[in-house]
Amino acid sequence: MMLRVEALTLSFGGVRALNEVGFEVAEGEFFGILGPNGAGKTSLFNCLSGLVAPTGSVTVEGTELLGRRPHEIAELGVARTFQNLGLFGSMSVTGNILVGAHRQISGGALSAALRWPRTFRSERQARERADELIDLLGLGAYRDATVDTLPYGIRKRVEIAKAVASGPKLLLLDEPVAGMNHEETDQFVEFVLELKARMGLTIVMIEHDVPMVMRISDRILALDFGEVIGVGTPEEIRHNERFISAYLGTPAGADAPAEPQLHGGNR
Amino acid sequence: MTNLIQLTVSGLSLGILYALVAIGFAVLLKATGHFNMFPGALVLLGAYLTYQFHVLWSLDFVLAVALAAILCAALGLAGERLLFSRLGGKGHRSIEHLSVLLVSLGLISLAQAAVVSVWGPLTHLIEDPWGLSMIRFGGVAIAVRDLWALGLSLILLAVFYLVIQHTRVGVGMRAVASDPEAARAQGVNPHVISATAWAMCSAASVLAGMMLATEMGGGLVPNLDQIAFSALPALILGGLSSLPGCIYGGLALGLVQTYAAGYAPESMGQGFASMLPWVVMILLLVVKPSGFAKTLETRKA
Amino acid sequence: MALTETAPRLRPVRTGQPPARRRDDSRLCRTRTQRILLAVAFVAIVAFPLSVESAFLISLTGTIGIFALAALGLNILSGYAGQISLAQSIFVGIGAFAGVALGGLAELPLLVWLPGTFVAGGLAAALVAPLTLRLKGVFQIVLSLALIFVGHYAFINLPALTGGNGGISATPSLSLGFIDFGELTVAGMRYSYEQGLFILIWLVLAASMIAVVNMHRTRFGRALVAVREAETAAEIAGINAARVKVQAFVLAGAFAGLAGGLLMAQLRYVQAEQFGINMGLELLIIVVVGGLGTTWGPVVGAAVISSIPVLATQYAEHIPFLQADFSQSGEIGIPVGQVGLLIYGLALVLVMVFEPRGLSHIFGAGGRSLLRLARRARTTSEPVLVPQPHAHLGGKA
Repeated sequence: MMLRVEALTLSFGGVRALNEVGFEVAEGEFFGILGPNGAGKTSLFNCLSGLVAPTGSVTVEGTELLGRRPHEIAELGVARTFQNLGLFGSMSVTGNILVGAHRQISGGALSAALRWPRTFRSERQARERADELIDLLGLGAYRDATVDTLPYGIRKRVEIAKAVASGPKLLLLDEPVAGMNHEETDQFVEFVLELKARMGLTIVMIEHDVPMVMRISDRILALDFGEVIGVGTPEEIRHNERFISAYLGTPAGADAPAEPQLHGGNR
Repeated sequence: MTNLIQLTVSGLSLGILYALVAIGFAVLLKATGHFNMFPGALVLLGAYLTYQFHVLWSLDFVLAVALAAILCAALGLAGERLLFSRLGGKGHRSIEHLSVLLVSLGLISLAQAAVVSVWGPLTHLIEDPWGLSMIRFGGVAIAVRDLWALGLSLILLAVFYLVIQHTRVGVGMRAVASDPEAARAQGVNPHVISATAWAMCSAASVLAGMMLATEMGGGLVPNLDQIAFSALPALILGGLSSLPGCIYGGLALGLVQTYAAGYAPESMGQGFASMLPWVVMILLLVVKPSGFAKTLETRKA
Repeated sequence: MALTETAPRLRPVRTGQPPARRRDDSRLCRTRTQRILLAVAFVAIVAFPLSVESAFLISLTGTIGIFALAALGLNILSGYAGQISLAQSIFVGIGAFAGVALGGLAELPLLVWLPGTFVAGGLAAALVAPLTLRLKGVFQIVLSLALIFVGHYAFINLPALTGGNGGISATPSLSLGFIDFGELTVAGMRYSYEQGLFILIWLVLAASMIAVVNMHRTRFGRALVAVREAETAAEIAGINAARVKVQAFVLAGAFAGLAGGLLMAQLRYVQAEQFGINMGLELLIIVVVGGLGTTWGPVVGAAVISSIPVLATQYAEHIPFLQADFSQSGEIGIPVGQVGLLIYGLALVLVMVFEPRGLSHIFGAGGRSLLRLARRARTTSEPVLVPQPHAHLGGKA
């Protein structure tokens, strides 16, 4: 099992953001997470990447993640993107991707200072891989551009490139298509599936775009008020009573736009 | 016993002066959201202007101090309008939030150069009314200047308290400190707030500078601003922007320093007493860095 | 017509051909020009002191090199890692006194005592790093002030090593065995201690700059900048933020220590008083004025900030409004001793207000446009003239 989450509970000063959440993700799976605003989706990701300290258990291929620092979790092959982007504004697109590839490059301050050949070879290889990623994601025109100067859509792509540059086993995507139009979303789905196939990724994705999640995911977890209200195939979730009522009783997954349903849902 | 009482009084008087300087820093931090070292220059300039007005131009001492405070407030406000408030977001990415601090450090350098250029590098006497006179209660000799330092400082602090707690400006200042955006939305005029803050800062700094430059305090020297830096541990101890905190911090450090000067054995080495406040601050930061850092995070935002 | 004709000719010159192979940005020299300049720089380091006789100029440029080295260290911390410190001077002092102990008192050879100052500065920084890096902003700056006061107390109370308040003198060996920088002899010519030391200082500085450029352009340097810009995102990418910050702090201290060792060798006398808040402020101002986070910033900053007070003192009588000393009381003027403070303050304020990217940015932009002009002149020496379109437009107007 790639990812196993058991009895995950997270409280902020008496408020339970997550309550006894448990699920499993198999290797190679595309796993979607749905839920209205405030359902605890991003909190769940923060638990998985070590930014908060919940109780319970999270294992990746049998290794416990809880209690580890974020950079240690990254070392285990878990990468994530941020909803509001975690880019390094003054660096170039290539620079950002190379930061993402940090764990794949060898050498520290000393070996770099002394121009250790092995360090620079590893650096060169990382740059070649970064170039491949740049081409794959169609970022060629922005290779040396400073990230701060790029439009939002491009930055979202850089964010994903940065995450996969680490060569992860498990990729966590936090609302990757928020703010994109239909065409951009389709494009995104295409290249994420391509990345997944090429790199043998297991992907867990949070997204508000219900039809897109239903279309792309192998299985889906539905959350509401920090609790699991259903896990299953898109078909099963589509017919899950609690999921439907969480989305205001409208049949979820119908072709109605997702956003209005969500805003009507909770809070 | 008499020694202890004498040390306590002079410790408290040194401490209240530290508290005043620390409050000068804290008030600005509260009102403008930036850590500004310029009050250090006001301590220096205030003392020298007092010297200029009282000794060289033979004005009445009280008038001289008041004029110095007014001039310093004007200088601070001019700096705020012409320089500090225009620096927002400027600077290299790594020091954006510190541009005000760096510019104020530059201004302190300029002030020091100016002071030496105009008044020379030698120690002056500001001819304060107290001199070295002492009052004796039984066997205890207490410097008159220390009593005045305590008295005047307490009066000034009481005025500050009234301004902050019971005037519209004070309410606005507290609003700005807790949430600048919301305060602006509610019609608090930031210009009035910053003018008041600079006036308070100047009054506190000039009073402290004048008292530190008295004959009892060691005379008027061009590195008075660096003596003012010794108040920074009080600011940290007090939690950065709390005025009562500055007073407790200042008094505690004044006492620690004076007791150390009085009681520490020779073997502690030279300069032990004046270094001790910094060590106390470091120890405090070792014990509780997160609590303080948290206060700062909210200030920076 | 002229416009459409010149445009395609000029474009490749201005933007450069898109390289067939993507350029490797981690290389030290990206162009042939840079390689040539680097070689010229190394030749100049040796040729300059041997051809200049003025002891004043040699000692001034030596001092600039020393301050540039200390600022280079601070630039790692403040420019790349975004941590501010006023206490760099204390680590310079630790290096200087370590140099006195190792090179002066213990009379160890150059290859031991000079690296020793590097290690001493680094160790001292490692000692305080865990504390200072836990703090942020104002707390960090006030803590760095505290380090200055505590460091000064330590210096004056260790008279065996530092000479206490009075200072201590030392005559360290500058010999590598086959070559002695202290009494350099080239082709039968004897050169002075200062000339030899200049070469040593600038060779150390050049090597340090190359080391820092190498670090900056590879994994460690990117990690530093990433932590500065978005610490959480950097951690998620697998960077141990606490560790790289400590490394930056230790490197800053180590380069300061090295600078201290060289300063001790230059003055052959050091005093605790030197390593106070004024030097700390001077070093911070050097990196800010020179340009934070730039390769040349420390050198440019040191050349401007550290040389002006020295030059002012030297040429005081030729400069209006300067007073050589205080004997001429009553005369209005700036005492020479204050010119340093005046320049530091003025430079800091002006740079922060007008060009926060620093002088090296101004010089860099100036240099690049000169280079462009030169290239344009070269490529347009054939019939097609650049001014033509302008002439046409001017004619129409």
